Amino acid sequence: MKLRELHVAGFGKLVERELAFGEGLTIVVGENEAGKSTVATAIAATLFGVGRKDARDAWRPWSSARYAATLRYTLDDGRAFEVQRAFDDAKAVSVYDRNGVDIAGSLAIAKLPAPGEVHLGVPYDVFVNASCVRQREIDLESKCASAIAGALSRALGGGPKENAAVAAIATLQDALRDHVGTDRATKNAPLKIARERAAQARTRADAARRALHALADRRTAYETARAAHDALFARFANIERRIDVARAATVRARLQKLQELRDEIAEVQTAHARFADVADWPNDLAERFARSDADCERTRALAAAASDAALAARPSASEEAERAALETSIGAIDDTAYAALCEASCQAREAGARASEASAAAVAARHDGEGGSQIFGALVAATAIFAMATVGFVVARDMLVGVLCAIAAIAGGFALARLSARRSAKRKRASEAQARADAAIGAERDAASIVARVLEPRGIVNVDELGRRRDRFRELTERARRAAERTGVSSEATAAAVIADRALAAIVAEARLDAADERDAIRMHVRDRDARKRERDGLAARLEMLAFQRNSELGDDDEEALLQERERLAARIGDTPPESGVSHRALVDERAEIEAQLRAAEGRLAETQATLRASEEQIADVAALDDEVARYDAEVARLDAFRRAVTLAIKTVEDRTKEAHERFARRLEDYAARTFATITAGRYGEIKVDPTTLEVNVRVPETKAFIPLDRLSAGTRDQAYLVTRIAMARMFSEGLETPPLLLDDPVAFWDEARIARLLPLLAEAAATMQTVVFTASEAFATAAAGFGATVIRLEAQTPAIA
Amino acid sequence: MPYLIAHCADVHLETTFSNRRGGSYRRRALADAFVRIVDEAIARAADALTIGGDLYEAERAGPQTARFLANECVRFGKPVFVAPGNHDPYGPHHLLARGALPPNVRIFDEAAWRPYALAEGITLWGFGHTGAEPGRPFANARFDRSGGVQIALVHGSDESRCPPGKRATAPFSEDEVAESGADLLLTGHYHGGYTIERAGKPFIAYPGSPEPIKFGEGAHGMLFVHIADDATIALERVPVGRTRLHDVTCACDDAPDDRAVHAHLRAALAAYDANDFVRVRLTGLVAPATRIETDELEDAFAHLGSLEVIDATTACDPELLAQERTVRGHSIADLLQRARNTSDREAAADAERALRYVALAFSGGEVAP
Repeated sequence: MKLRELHVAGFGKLVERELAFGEGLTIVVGENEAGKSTVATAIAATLFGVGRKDARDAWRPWSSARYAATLRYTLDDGRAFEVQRAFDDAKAVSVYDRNGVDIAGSLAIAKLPAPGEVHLGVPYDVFVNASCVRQREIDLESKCASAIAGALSRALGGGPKENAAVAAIATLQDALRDHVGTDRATKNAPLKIARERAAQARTRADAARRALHALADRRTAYETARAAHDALFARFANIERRIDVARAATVRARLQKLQELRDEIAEVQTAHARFADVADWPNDLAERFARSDADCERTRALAAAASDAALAARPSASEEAERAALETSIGAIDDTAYAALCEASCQAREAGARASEASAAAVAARHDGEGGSQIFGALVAATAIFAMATVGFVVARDMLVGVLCAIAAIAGGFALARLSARRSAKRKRASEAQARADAAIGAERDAASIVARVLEPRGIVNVDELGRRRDRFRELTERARRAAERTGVSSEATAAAVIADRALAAIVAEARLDAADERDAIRMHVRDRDARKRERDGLAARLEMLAFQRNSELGDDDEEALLQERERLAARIGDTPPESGVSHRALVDERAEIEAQLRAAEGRLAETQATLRASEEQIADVAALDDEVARYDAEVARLDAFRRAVTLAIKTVEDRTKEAHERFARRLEDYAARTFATITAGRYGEIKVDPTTLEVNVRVPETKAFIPLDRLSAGTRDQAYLVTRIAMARMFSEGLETPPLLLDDPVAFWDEARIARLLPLLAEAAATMQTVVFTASEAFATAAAGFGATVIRLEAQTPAIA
Repeated sequence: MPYLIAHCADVHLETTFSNRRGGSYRRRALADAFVRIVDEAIARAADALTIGGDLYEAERAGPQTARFLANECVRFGKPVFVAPGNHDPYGPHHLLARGALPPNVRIFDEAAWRPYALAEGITLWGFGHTGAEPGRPFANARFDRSGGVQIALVHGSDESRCPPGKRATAPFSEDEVAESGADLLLTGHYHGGYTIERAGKPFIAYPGSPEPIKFGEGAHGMLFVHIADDATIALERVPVGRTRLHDVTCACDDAPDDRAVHAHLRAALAAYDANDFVRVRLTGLVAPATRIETDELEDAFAHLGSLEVIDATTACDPELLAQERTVRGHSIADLLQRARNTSDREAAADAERALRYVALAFSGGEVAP
């Protein structure tokens, strides 16, 4: 871009100013406060706008002039434009092309006309920091370094002007985030969700596969159960055949047995018919006849014996007379009276005994009381003698002897007293014994008188005699009673014999025998007929038994059914002989056991079959589930491929961007170092520029070390930054629109030597990049004019304050 | 007496398909193909049917498949010989090992050669896959003991002709087969059928799968082996498939919008119907911001068996873009070079996709899978 003309209607202190810029280097020279910096700002503001309201107000014209400016410029491709901007309204911008058509609408960014940004390819801050160096602000703002670096990278091969690599990377990252997501994302994570769905589908498919394998196991179990069932079924069929064989043998044997029974029954029935005459002979008649016959014989014998016994027991006449006499004499004395008499007799005897004993005791007591008189007299005499001897010896004063005599006398006195008491007691006991003897004698007398009153009138001496008479009376009375009793028995026996005879006659009549026959003849007839009847009964019993055997043999069958069964079995098994040593029962038991096993096997078979069928019905379509898994896997693969491709794209663009940065940094270093060496007279020949932060380091010749510009002098630092700016601006021209370089008094603090070294460089730069230097130095302007610079003198205006 | 053998392999009943639709239809087509194989064998009065493995997929086949196979074998009525493959290896759970095996079916249930006299002078030697990888089946095989025509039946890989990406199983070489004494090897595993001749006679025969399973497999069908009285052998290939897989490239150059892309696609797919399963690759330069929704396109052609759309269109010519001295140009040049120089197909595909995405991102288009 090359600035052609600037017309400022009103901008800060500038009012109605017109500036025409040269093709290459233009020096705008003016005194301080002439508005040089305002011109630089007005150029930027016309291209990019003034920004927000505070910035807009800061440059509002001091006078009442219209707050507007017009800038004409041409682009590298030759197109020419005129921008008319009224700064009060951000939208009040017109951009006219060569044909006078307002194309402001096509140069809009964010709906606002931005001819500077569109045509230069850089935003306002990049332009200001890279191409528009304000007075004393020659160093780069670090906050804009990234934007400048980005713009430089685009300029040096970064990408189309309308879309940057940074934006492309952002787009790719957005796509990655939107269509793939991250592992940590929970909402917008399509790849993660697809993986989870694939895993879930795989789990379902695996479960179905396991069910399929389990189904195979169940089928194996079913086959096993079926094989076991079939084996049991075969065993059952075999045992059935063996039972049929045994059954056939049994049926044949039964039919043979039934035939034999039928023949025997016919034979016995013929014999049985021969005893028809005794058909109604009572079975018990012979027994009753025998019993009645025996009764007759026995009762007759008993009647005869009883008659004999009655005759033998009857008392004689003398005995009858004796019994009558005794009954008269002692009949009135019953047993109670007899007992009382016995008691009284006994009491009389006991009282007599007691009287004798008491009399003897009284005699002995009296004798004992009289026996001690001599001893008592001798003791009295001895006591008197010792008493007197005591007196004598006391008088004789023989005291010792006297005392001894006195003691003896005292002892004698005591002995006398005791002896006297004993004698009195004995006399008392003798009188008591006598009294008891007298009482016993009285009692004996009373009892004897009672007995005597009963016995004496009957001429009986004592009770014993009375007892003997009573015994005889009883004996005679008993004999009379027994005789009467036997007479009764005889009569009863005779009556029984008569009854027995009548009963026997009735039986004989029942047997239709002639009662007139001899008893023995009758007896023989009875025995004969009874024997025939018994024989007939035996045949009948035999018939019954045979019928029973036949019935038993048949059981619930009938012979016709057995015959049919024999034919059926014969047709089925032919003439297979029965097994020897194996009973039908054993076979049936074995069949029952096998049948039970078969039923159990059938149950198991049915159970396993039901399980198998249920499992088969529940089997999912594994292939369809695997289709689903494959679809999810394909989706995962698709997204994963997208992720890989986008990641590769991002990395490629990032690498290329970084590479572009690095390339621009290297070129910046090369160019700046060359220029810096020139203006520092070769002292600083090496520069390093960080491609991201644009931090500049220079190598110090003495230490060979790179140090930041901050550590150099202010003049040197400004030199370094200036050449860096120029280098940047030159490099913009390589890829983007070449911006005009606006330098606001950059050499204000430079010495002349440095300025002299700078001017050729500026002139060289201006050959490819329009350079406008605003300065107050006439000398610098004059020197620059020597390098072909266009010099514009900016006169200070006296503002008309509105 | 001439002898006729019907041979098939790789029916892959109950296999799985990743298409969004049509999986069950194609599985039904596989079963129908086997029915047609039996129909053909019956119609031509084949004396035996040999199956060279992978009749079904063991991990998905269930009782229904077992009943189907048993019924078909019974329907054929003549001897059926099955050499299990790597997808249906013989084991306790092999479908034809369960229950009552039809009496005319013989399974080679060992990883060893077992003979069966088909007719006087014709012996069939079978080798079955079991759970373990069987190794080289012809390493020690010798079939010349009984004289006559020796026919080998195994599911294996002709290792010198293994298709790309195909896993080899039971590998063998032509020389190994020749040394074994086999006059003819009837085999399976490769879904694209072919016949190798030796001294002008058919020697190794792959029938191919009766129905296509994946794209680009080759010929499909079954084989009839005619053995004449003089022991000469002739092969006849008979197609029995119903479904077809097509890889179609649809050039959408200069398509101004998605409607134009749709029109291109409609023209490219006009000849296909419900038995056609198509994978179409959209290529060419389309106008920037042309939205190609592959799912929408796949749904729009529902009358096909299935449609898989691969969008390889680009809104700008990458060769031109690569010449730009910009980050975009350099990035696209990088990716072009990466795609061309790598032998890894996946890496090349990634690079091609990345190239499209870079171009889209720089042009402000929507980057989407």
